[in-house]
Amino acid sequence: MSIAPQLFVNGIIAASLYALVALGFNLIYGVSRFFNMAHGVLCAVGGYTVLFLAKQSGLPVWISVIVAILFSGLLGYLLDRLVYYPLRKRKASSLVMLVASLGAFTVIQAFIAILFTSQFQTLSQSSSIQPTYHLFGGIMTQVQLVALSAAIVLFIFTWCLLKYTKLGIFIRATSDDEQVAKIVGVNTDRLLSFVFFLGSAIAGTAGILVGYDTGIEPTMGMQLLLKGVIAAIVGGVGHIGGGMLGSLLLGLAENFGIWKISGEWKDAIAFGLLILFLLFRPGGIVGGKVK
Amino acid sequence: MEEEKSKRSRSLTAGVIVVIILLGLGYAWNSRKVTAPSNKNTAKTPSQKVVIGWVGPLSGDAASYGESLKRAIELARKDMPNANIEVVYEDAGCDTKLVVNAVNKLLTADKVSAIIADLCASPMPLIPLVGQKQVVLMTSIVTIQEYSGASEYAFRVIPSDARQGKVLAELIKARGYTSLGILYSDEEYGRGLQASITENFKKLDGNIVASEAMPLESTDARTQLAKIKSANPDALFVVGLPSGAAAAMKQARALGMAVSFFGPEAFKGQEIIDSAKEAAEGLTITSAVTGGADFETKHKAAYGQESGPYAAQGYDAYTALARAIGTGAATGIEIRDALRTLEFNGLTGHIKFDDKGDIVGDYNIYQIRNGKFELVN
Repeated sequence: MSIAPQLFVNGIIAASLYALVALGFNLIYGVSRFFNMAHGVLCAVGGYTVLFLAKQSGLPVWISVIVAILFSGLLGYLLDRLVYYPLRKRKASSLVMLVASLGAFTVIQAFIAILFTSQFQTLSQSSSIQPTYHLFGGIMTQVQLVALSAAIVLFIFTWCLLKYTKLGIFIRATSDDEQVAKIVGVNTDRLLSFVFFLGSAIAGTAGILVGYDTGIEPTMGMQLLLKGVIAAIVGGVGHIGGGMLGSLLLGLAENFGIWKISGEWKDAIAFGLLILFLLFRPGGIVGGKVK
Repeated sequence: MEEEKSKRSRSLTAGVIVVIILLGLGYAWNSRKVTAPSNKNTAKTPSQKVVIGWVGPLSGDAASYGESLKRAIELARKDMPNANIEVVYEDAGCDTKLVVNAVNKLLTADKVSAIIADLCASPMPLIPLVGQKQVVLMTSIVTIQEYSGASEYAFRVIPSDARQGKVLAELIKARGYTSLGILYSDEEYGRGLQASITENFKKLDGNIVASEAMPLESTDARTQLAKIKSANPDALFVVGLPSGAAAAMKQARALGMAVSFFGPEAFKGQEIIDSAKEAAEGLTITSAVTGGADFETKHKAAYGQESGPYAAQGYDAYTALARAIGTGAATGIEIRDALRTLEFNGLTGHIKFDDKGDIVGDYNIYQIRNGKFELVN
């Protein structure tokens, strides 16, 4: 039996999770222009909120998931209001913002570990093995199919939002030049807060899906963030379509890369790809030029 | 000009003298440090108190192990009272840095003659420390192969993974499986067992058809499993953290692999059953023998609860040291020599250390049936 189809499917599964993280990251980076480390921990927040509501409090799964997505978004919004907004007003450099977001990341991660212990936990409650589907000659579980659909749907939703709504036009304007956008009457601060909400909610969604697929632990955020950011940079940072392409490339490269060599090379391949892109195509797949 | 030159040469001479004095002082200081410990070890007389240090997790995720071992040691102390022995407990969680700090404290402040290191972190950083201070290192839970003969002061009352690998290979072969896939964590524990099983399974004319590594903390083994699946093994041996193994077993079942699962003693616990649920059904593991009914009754009478995993080993570790000290040994060197010739029947079987500080040891075989580990032997 050839394993190529299964490797392809594994690549797609990994890509859809990376794509969700990259999508939120790119949205936020596009308007705020700083490397938001706290984005990673919001994935963990999403996962742990579902753990608390569905598994520990016994609420129906669909309610828990919706509440968890909104809560991740809300936390992202609060981070912007309470931490980033005051710093922005003081014209803090992007390095200061990065350190502040790293602080937020660590605090929230420690908080989760205190509340829920740092033990690895699974979200799914049924003891039976998930139903599986055959796709492109490989096997995919139900959760993985949901992750793939979520990545596609949320990408199309975000893309339409940016392209066709007034809000989207404001976001793109702010992303192009915040000063000019302000001059023509866009309330960029409120806009940024909204983008933080949206991007963080998408991050929370990714965390929930990871939780149902494999499981959650407080430190899950950093790994997801790094892979999401690699995907974003490889695709073209700040460009949501590029993030999708970057995720696909990263997921497939990781999985096909270890076809003939041992599995522990996965991360080395991912970061090697990042270095190659930084050296030879710093703008990413779609970017071409550096901004 | 002339004057300036002589001034310069004068200050140069002064500088050289200062450097020489500093070097001399440094040398004297250094040699004092080197000679200091050797005085300590020869000065001890048998009537002095002998201090045994214990280091392990009394807080954090693995605290239950540490607490259970501490109870076992206290029980052994009650059974074999010796007013000359004092035990100092140090908590180090599962963090190698904290372990090294705690051991340094035991060596320098408590002046211990032996240390029982029941670690969930690697014990290897301790090997040079105990060698330098000539202190015996004993353990009841460390099973990695590198520990065997790592130091003339290193002993253990639990069999090495080299032995566990042999028992597992024989078990898998006896169940009628001839082709085996291995999924192992990429660190010393996983690599050690992978090597030992591979070697022993091949000796029994078995085939290792696939051997894939995953990072210790990872919970995604899909690609590795896809590769293993294509090699079509009858059985799959998984070693790593319970969380990673549970995720891997679920992913293997999701990929439609119908193989039988085997694992090491690290999996014996509730975590793997809770995480993997139905996918863990049928998982067979080896586990070093427990203390038997008498020990359980005694433990329950003393503490009102069941003994934990490795408690019997903890009891035997203390017993070995206490017996060695009972023969009149007090310094690390004396205890080491006494342990070499020591032989007794412990809770976990006959204890006799070979020249690498290892014992032979027996294993029980457990299988998960209906969500519980059952003894199957």
